Order: sequence, then structure tokens, then C-alpha cells
Amino acid sequence: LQIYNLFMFDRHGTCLYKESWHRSSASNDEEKLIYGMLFSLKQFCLRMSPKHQEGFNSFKTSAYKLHLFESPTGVKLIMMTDPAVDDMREVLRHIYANIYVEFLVKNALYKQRSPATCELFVSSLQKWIRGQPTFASGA
Amino acid sequence: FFFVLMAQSKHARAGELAWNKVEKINAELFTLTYGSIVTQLLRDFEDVEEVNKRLEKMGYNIGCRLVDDFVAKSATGRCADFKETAEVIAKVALKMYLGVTAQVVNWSTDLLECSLILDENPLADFVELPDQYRGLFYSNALAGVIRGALEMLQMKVEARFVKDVLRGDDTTEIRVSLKEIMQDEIPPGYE
Repeated sequence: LQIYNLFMFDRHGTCLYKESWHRSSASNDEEKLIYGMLFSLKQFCLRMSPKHQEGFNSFKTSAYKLHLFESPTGVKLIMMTDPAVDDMREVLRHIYANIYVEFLVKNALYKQRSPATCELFVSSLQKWIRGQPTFASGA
Repeated sequence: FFFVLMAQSKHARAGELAWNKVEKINAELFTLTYGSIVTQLLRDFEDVEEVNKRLEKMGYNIGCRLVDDFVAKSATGRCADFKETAEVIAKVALKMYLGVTAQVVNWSTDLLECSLILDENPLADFVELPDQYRGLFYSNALAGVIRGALEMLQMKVEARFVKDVLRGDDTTEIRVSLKEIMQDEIPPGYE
């Protein structure tokens, strides 16, 4: 059980943050692929839903599972993990409410729509992810 | 009628809860800080209209950020319609950040426009407007906060003060009107 990637987008589709762990290969422009796919997938879910609701949370392939958390303000957190990992939305919600809001949004020097490089934000995020039981178990 | 009452008390409760949870600062310090910003703006621009604009812009920038804090802490879900949005601003958001609530009244027939009546306004405590500043909307930052916060929730609104007790009106009233629900932005190169 491992965490592979984390991506963060704002509501304009700007990639605010990305990071990978435990991976042997990575391709360029992954964030563009992810965002485009997510956009289509959300449209797909909305149009195919019998109740006209979105409600996309995760999908799974044989190699990984993708989890999505989206705040009402359109901030999207995407995490890819081992396919056997349970629901990670609570973890992503915590990152949004306690790390994104506290260390990025409330940092007056942080300009919205720009990549998140503030030290305090990055270090808190790293610490929280590494502290997750899913992070490295079985590694 | 009963259901309306229930819905209202639900938001009022959420407001109380949020209010109890947030950290408080000294009211005098807050009021005086805001007051000194307004005074400095008046000194810098010497034009009441320009100061109104600047205050709104400052509020807008605050709102754009504050809304994420609100979403993270208030535990209110997505609003069903603009009517509920107005109630949440009046009963939860204003309570959480200013410790006061507002009444939502004067709905337009299409339900896209309403007024928030502020019974109390902590920004304006100790304030008296001299005659030469009659045109000033002293608390205009508040209107900006509402506009900025709702824009982040994909609602383009116009928010402006129409009455202010500081100007001799009988109430303090912010008029909010919904202009547009914004759609998700399409990624570049997407068909």
C-alpha cells in the first residue's frame, strides 16, 4: 500500500502543486493529462447520471487508484495510490482544510493562481503525507 | 411556514457553532484597525468615490481567500439555490466572522436579488461621518468580501451598500444581486 502522486489544481485548472513518490517512471506534462481527463470524466459523470449529479470520487486500474477531492471553491486534490488502498477523501479533505487553507490561502505573500512554493506549506504537506499509514507500508 | 422556520434555525445553529469554534480578537483593536485603514485611504486619495472603490477591492481580495476558510470550517454543505446562499451569508458567515447576523429581505420576484439588513455593524462602532464624507460607504469592504467569496463559489454577484446608518439612513442595507452562475473553465486545447 503506497501513495504514488499528489496533484493540486485551482478552479482555473492551474496546477498549484505536484509531487510523486515510490515511482520508477514518470512522464512529462502529467498534470495536463490529469486535468484534461478529470474535466472529461466529470462531464461524463454529470451527463450519464440519472439524477444530474456529479459525484465522481475515484477510479481504479490494475496498477493504481485515483482519488479526487473537490472543494466547493473548485480546488481539486488528486492522489494516486496502490489499487488496494481504501477511500482517501478524508485525507485529502484534511490537506485542503488544514494545510491548503492554513498555509497557502492565509499566506499574504502567496499569489493566487501561481504554483505553491511556500516553504511552510510544502513542509507541512510532506510531513502529513509521510505520516499517513498508507504512505510507505509494504515499501 | 414550519419548514421555513426549521431551515432558518438550522443556519442559525450552524452560525452559533461556527462562532463558538473560531478564535476571537479584541473588538476595539479590530474596529480601530479598520478605521485607520479607511482614514489613511481618505488621506491618500482625497476622493470619496475612489475610497469606496478601494475598500471594495480590498474586501474582494479578502473574500477570495476567506471563503476557503469558511468552507473548511463552517461545515455547511453546498447551497441548493441563491436563496439559501443569502441565508448562509446572513446567519452563518456574518456570525462566524463578525459575530452578528443579518436579515434577508426584499427579494426580487425572480429570486435573484435581495437585501441584507445589518442590525449591528462592528466595523462602524465609534464612527461618525463628517459632512464632507457623506458619500462614503464606510464599510464598503464588506460588500467586496461578499462579491469575492461568491465569485470563488462560481456565482458572479453585484454587492453594494444602498443604506448606511452612518449616512443618516434608518438601516444598514447591502443589496446583493446574482448576475451569472459561472461554468467550470475548459482546459486549453480541449474540444
